[in-house]
Amino acid sequence: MLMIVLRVLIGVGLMVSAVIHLQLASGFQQAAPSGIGGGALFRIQAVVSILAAAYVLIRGSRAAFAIAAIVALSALAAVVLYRYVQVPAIGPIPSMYEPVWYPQKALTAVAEAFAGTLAVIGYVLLLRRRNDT
Amino acid sequence: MITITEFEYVMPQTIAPGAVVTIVNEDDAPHTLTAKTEGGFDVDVSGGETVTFTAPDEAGEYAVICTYHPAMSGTLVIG
Repeated sequence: MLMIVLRVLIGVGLMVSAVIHLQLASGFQQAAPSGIGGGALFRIQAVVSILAAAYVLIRGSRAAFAIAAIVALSALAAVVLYRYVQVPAIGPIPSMYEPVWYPQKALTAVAEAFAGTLAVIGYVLLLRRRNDT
Repeated sequence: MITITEFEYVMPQTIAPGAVVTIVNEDDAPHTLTAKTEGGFDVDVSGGETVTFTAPDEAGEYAVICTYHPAMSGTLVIG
């Protein structure tokens, strides 16, 4: 039962992140147009989040928890990095420095932190169960 | 009235010197209307909010940017 609750909560966190990224994508294509553009990057992030959410909801394996953790925590790292560090454009990735927090941005960071932490917990719980048997 | 939508400024052709100007931010993200020149105006507009500011008294063309999103730029024409 605990694992099902974890999977649902992780799925919700990843979906919240995906929806907000899709909502902000068109504006960030204008704000960060270099490389493939911030909007395209946001849409890729959203699709990857949705796929990771679907995988953890359907499978619930260690691999699913690991992928959910990687997707959520890498997105969290990116939003925090670009909030505080003026990272230049790197290849196709545009410079997306945005030195301000606002409700949607804060919500996506919280959702990613929440999903990422729960995914790590789920992964560790599955690992312990495997070692106990 | 100046509207900010999809990270772009939509400005009237000209604004009278000293006029009180309404800025409507239709985006979720906050923006600023900041004069590039030193000592110019700097107005912060939260996402979805409307604020007013007083246009400069001196006629001319003022290059503006958003300090949060430097790719956003425009020209405010006072005259």
